[in-house]
Amino acid sequence: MTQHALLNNVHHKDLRIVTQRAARYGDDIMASPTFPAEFRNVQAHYPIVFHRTDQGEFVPLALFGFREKQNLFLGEAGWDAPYVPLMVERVPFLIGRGPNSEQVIHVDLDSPRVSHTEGERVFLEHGGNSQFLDRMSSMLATIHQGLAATNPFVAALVENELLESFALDIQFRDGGQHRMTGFHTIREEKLANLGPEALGKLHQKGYLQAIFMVIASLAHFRDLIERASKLDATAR
Amino acid sequence: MPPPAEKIPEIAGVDPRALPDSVLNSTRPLVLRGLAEHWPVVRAGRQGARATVDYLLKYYQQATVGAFLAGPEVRGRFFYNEDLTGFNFRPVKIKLDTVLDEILRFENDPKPPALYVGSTTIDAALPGFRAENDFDFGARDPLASIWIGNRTRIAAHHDLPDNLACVAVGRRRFTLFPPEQLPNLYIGPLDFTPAGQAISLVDFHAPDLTKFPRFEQALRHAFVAELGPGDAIFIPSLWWHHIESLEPLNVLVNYWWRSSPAYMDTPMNTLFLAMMTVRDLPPEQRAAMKQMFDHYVFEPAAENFAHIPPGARRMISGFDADRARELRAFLLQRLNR
Repeated sequence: MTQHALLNNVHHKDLRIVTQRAARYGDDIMASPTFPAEFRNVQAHYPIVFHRTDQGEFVPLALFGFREKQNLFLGEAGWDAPYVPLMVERVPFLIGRGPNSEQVIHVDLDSPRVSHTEGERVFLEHGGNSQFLDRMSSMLATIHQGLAATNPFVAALVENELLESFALDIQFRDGGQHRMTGFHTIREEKLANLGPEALGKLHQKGYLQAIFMVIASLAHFRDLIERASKLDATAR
Repeated sequence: MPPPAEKIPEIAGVDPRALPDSVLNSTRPLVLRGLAEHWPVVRAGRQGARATVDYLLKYYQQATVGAFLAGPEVRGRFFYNEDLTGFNFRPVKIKLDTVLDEILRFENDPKPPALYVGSTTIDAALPGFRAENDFDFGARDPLASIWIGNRTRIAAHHDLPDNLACVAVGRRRFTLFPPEQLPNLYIGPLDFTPAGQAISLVDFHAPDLTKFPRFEQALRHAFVAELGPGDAIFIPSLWWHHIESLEPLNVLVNYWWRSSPAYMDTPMNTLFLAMMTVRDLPPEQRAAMKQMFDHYVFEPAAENFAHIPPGARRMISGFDADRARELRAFLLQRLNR
């Protein structure tokens, strides 16, 4: 359930947000949407893959696990990586539209992160914006711009036939096996054979860098497998 | 009955290509007949409503504008509801050509709905319009807006910028009051207003003198003018004005500019903050603050500060853009608590 409300310093004067990372706060997620402007940070820790929605659109994802609800970065001590993708960090805030179609901040009041007793204060004692809220607000602006730039990026990938589905056969250290399917990645052969004109176009828009970051990010599958190997076979 | 209101002084022969300081710096209202009679929009307006709309549509590029819509029962008076908890009109975002079509559709209807596109930036809504319908303000850089509607009434209110308003099409009746008529105009809520500015709660067409007895005083100080196509009026900063549009289609072009530097925020912010921080102080503290406002703001005589070396007077010696920036940062930090 979600209950979105326009954030304001009267109705939400005591609002606090729990920033701890744990399954009970909804962090038990296998992946999170990301966007090209974030690839540099994401590819340092997570594989970036593409998910094809029911509408046939491709969405870049930062991958945290191999199956639903599995986040291999989530442990007793929180999130075991120095960078958490912004679409995860923004929760429970989101961008909405105000009466004059200006951007406003909404909050999901049904989020388990919403509290009145623990966590970061959203508003200062007399209604001013806390540093936490300022940070969230600039994060939302970054996400908004980043997501808007995703569609043309994906369109360029599709136009150049640079996406292909893949299956990953995982061999755990103890001999256990798992097959992951349903995601797309960059078609490296096709990329290698692109002519200078097509490459130039991709480069001009900054897409080429993003493409190579996606390719480089796949090295983190080794880390994911490593993390999964440490789990009991039943927990994989 | 109150005495007939005074007519606003009229001056003729002003050159629209070089508006003189004597007009633009005036502290009294002025009417400038025929100032825009050469504008193509004024000429189109004389051909009728259809020709006016066709002319405006020449510049139309699918702009969405803010409009007020109300039923025929409000008789063009945009106002609050009965108990001032809401309004008697609906603000909507709508394509400009749709509003124009609606105005035409009700052109000959004796009881039309009230249709009003107020305070709309011309360059955004009708790009290119100003290339042939404009005045020269020299070094001033006014905000040029267009106002389009049928028979409507906008309650008395005031604006901080100086205002040169020009009837392009139709007729408008302006009723003005000097700023000091504030207590006689029965101004409504400050922070819940139909269009941003607080308005008089008096219905000028049927003033309820039992409820608003001092309005009779206000009328003794009223200035009125009826403007036709091409006529302009100068409304000085903070003068109260009630505006009626009298024809089935009326178009107004207005220019707002401030005679003070851009870094000066609206003093209404100061008023609101003072209501929060000064008004409800214990009497002694409030009296002390009143003296401080006089000393530093309202009557800052040079001898008040002669004891401070000139180089050390800082804010007291006056502001420039950089000093205003410093103070803004300081205040933002202090207010955010």
